[in-house]
Amino acid sequence: MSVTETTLHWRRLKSALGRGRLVQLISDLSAGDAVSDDAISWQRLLSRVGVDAPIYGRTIVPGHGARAWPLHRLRLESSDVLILHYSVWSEAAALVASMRRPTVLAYHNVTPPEFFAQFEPAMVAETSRGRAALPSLADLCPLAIARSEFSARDLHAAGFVDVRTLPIVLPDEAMADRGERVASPATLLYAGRVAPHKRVEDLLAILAYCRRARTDVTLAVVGAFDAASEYYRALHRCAFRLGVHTGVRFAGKVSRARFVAEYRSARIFVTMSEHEGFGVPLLEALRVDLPIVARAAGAIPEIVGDAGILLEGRRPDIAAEIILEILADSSLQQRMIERGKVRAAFYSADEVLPCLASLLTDGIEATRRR
Amino acid sequence: MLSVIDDIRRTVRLPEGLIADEDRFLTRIATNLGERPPLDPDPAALLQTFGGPEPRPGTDDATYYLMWAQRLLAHPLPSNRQVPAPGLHGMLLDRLRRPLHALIRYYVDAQAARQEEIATWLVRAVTALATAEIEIERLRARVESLERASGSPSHDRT
Repeated sequence: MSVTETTLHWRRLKSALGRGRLVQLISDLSAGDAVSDDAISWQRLLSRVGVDAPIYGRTIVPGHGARAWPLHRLRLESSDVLILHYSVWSEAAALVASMRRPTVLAYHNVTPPEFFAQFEPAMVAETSRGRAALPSLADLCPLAIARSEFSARDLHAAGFVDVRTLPIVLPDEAMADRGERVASPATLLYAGRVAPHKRVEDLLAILAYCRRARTDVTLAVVGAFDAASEYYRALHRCAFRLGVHTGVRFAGKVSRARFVAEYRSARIFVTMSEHEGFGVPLLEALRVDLPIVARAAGAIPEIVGDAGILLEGRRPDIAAEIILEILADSSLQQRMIERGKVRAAFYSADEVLPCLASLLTDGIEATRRR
Repeated sequence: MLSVIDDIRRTVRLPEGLIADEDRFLTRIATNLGERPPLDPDPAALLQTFGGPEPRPGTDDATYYLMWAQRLLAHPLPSNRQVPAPGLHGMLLDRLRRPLHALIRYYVDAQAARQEEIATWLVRAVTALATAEIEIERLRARVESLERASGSPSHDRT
C-alpha cells in the first residue's frame, strides 16, 4: 500500500472521529503483558497522526510510558469512542455493559476455563464469566476486531455480526538489534507467561529427551510467573524428577533490553502452548531470526505459517528429535530463518497500519450510527 | 519402523519445500528415536500424571527446595535506583503525585515477591522434612504394633 493511500486512511479516521478521542479500556495495564502492549502500541501509533487514545484500567502499573489512568478517573465526552480490549471479564467490561454505550471490541481471546481448573481455580470464575459475557457484548459492539482468525471464530459463535481480523502490531523498534548476536550453542527459548495452558511441562520433557543426545541443550523460560503457585511448584518438581533442573532457567519478567538479549542468545524458539489468541512471542521470534518449533494449536498455525515446524498433539520425544535435527543442520536453520523473514514482513507495521486505520474508522462510524 | 514413521508423519507438520527429502528426514528421526537410550522416569509418562498427587516428600525434595532458596539468596537484586521522568513538567509531576506509589511498586513489591519466593522454598523444605519425620514416626508405631501382635521381641532401632 502506498504512502498516499495510508495517509488517506489516517485522514479518514481523523475526519470520522472529529474532536473526540479513542478511549481505550483495559482490565489492567502492565507493560510486558500482550494486551497492555497492544493498547500502548495503538496509543503511540495514533498519537503520531494526532489522535488521542488514552488508556483506562482498574490498575495501572507504572513503567509503561503511556498515557494511562485508573478507571475511576474516566470522564467521557459525547464525541469520544470507546474501545474495549477484552481478554477476561473485568471492571472495564462491566463499565461498558452498565453504560450501554456502543463500543468497538478488540478481542484478544479468553483462555478457556478448563485450563485453569487444576492449578488456578481462581481464574476459572474470571475466564468462565469472560466467555459467558461475550454474547451480551455482541449487542453493544457493532464492530469487533479479532486479533486472529482463531479468535474471530469465538466472536462469530457468540453472535457478533461484524467481525474483522487484524493482527497485533509489533513496533519496529520492539526487537531492535542491540549489538552482535551471541547465540549459545544449544539454548532453546520459550517466552510467555508461565501458566497451565502454555504447557511448560512439555518443554521440560522435550529438554529431557534432547539431553539424552546432547547434554549442552538448555532451556530459557522468559516470562512472568507466580513463585507461590502450584503450577510453578509442579514444574520445579517435574524438572527435578526429569533431572533437567540444572538445564532450565526461569528468568521471570525481565526488562525489554534483557528480553531482546534472551531472544538473541537463543538458537530455537519452542512453544507447546495449547491455547494462543495470537502469540506475540512467535512474532518476536520471527523478527529476530529464530527458527520456530511449536504446537499446532490456537492461532499458532496462522501466525507461523510456513516459517516453522508444527506438531500435533503431545509428543515431546518427536519434538526433541526435530529440535536436534535443526540444531545439527545449519542449512535447515538458514532456510527457516529466511522463511521467517518473509513471514515477519507480513506482520510489519507498513502492512498492518493502514488496516488498523481503516478498521478504527469503520468502528467509529458504526458506533456513531447506533 | 513403518508404523513409527507414520506416527511421526501424523505428528509433524513440515512446511512444503522446507525439507528436500522428507522421507529421508522422517526415517532418520524414526531411527534416532529407536536408538536413544530409555529415560527413567519416562518424560512422556510423567506428563500424564503432571500436577497430580505427589509421592511423599523426602529429603531429596527438601534438598532441592533449599538449593533454590540458596540460589535466590546468592543473587541479590540490583540496588534501588529511581529513574527520573523526562523534562521539568515530568519532574514536577513525579514530585507531586507518583514517588510513593512508584517506589512501592518498583522496589518494595519486587523485594517482597523475592522474599516470598525464598520463604516459600524454605517452608516447603521444612514441610518436606516434617512430613518425612511424621511418616517415620507412623511407620515406627506400626512396626511396634506388629511386633506386639506377633509376640516377637523388640530390638534396638537406635
